[in-house]
Amino acid sequence: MKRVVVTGRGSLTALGMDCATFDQRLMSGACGIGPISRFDPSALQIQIAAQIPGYQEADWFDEGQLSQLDRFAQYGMLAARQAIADARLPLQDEAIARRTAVLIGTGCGGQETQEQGYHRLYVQGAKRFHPFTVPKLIHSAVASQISIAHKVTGPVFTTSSACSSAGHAIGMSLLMLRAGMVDMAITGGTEACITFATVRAWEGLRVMARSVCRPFCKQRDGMVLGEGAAVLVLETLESAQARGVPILAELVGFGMSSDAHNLVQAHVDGPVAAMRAALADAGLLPEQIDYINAHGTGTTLNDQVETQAIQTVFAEHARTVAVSSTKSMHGHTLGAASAVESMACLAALQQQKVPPTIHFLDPDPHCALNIVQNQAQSMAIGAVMNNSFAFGGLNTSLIFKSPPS
Amino acid sequence: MSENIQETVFDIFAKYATLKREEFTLETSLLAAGMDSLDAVEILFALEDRFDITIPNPSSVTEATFGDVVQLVTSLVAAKESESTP
Repeated sequence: MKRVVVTGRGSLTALGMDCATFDQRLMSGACGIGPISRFDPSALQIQIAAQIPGYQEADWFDEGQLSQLDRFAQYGMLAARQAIADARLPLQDEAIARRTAVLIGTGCGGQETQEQGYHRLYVQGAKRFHPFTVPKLIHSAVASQISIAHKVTGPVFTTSSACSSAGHAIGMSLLMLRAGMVDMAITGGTEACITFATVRAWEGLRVMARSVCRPFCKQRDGMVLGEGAAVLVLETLESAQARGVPILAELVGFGMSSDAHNLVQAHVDGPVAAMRAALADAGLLPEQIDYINAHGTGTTLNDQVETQAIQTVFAEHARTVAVSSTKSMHGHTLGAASAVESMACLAALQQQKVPPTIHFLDPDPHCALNIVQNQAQSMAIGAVMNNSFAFGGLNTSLIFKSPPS
Repeated sequence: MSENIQETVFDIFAKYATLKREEFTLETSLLAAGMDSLDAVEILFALEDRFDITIPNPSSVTEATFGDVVQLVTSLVAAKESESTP
């Protein structure tokens, strides 16, 4: 079976417009969550989110491009552009472009386009939609746009499984690379869900934090929506070695499962199965995982159930394995979460440092894990696990290791 | 309608044409002005939105001349105004 490595990365999140800024702010425990500024949130109960600071679409795309690019696709395009440049992918070679995949996860797709269209239609009485409304809002638009921009002609599609969308995209890329279907994959996730209606809809679930996000902490009061995109370039080890490009990490394990239980209520069994499957796939024992980037949304139930799942899988090691939820800094980016948090895992491997859960006050006895609190912690890190557990009980778990020597 | 329909139509064309605005004539075709069928779809939308008219699906938009479009819009606007006259 072919080994698969990471040779490029790109990101655009509340922690910054590129990976260097993301890493720096992540490890310094910076908070990307703040008052919503994209629209007037005064009529909302929840008025905070993790927005990309200073993002102006006109800075990156011309008017013609924007008529066909919803915000979620813009973010995906920009993160992909960074990752492709980072990996120095030779996509001008048609044979290589044919053996390259683009798999991008998104939970909401073109939410802003949909919302603005409906506002015009139902509120303003407009008689017609912009002609590109449909191609712009479809979930697969981002994968297509990346494929078109970089002339990638291999398998191209979008995965959508709520908060595990990017986990499934990265996992499917891994499987396709191992199977020899492709040699390279541009994969990750994107989400642009900070719109008036989306925030209002999330309010209805009564799981939203009012001021900050502090997962696994006794005083936690919910999650905070985040936006952005992160994209990895994955390729077979032999391809990376033949090209002589730097290897950032090895993707060694992927597990997925379904709770088959409830659309919103988390369950222990599914996450346990996903983590165990990832460990088995990687050929690792639980003791060999040094850091878990938890799903850790900050809701009462998720963090409690995830703790139980980690305790079940890791047994005694559950007391020692370092755990953090970086959602406390970049928010919950939904369909992009697994990709954004893969960036945090890569930073952890590269810097041999665990990014913190910020705003942490007191430990919750129901979340008795070794939570890295408020400050990054230096330690030897050989293997890291990245969990995503989505609404609908759809779970993914990825395991990255330091690059093969 | 008091506004100059031709001027407004040309303003909309100018957003998509590669040809300069001052080189537009009524004989210029959309194709010759550098517009493709996707541009045409956006232009039709912009015209409908601007004049509050509905343009029937054309057979070939890009081969139409600017004059054809101005004439079509003028007739649709006139038809709309006569309908709304009490």
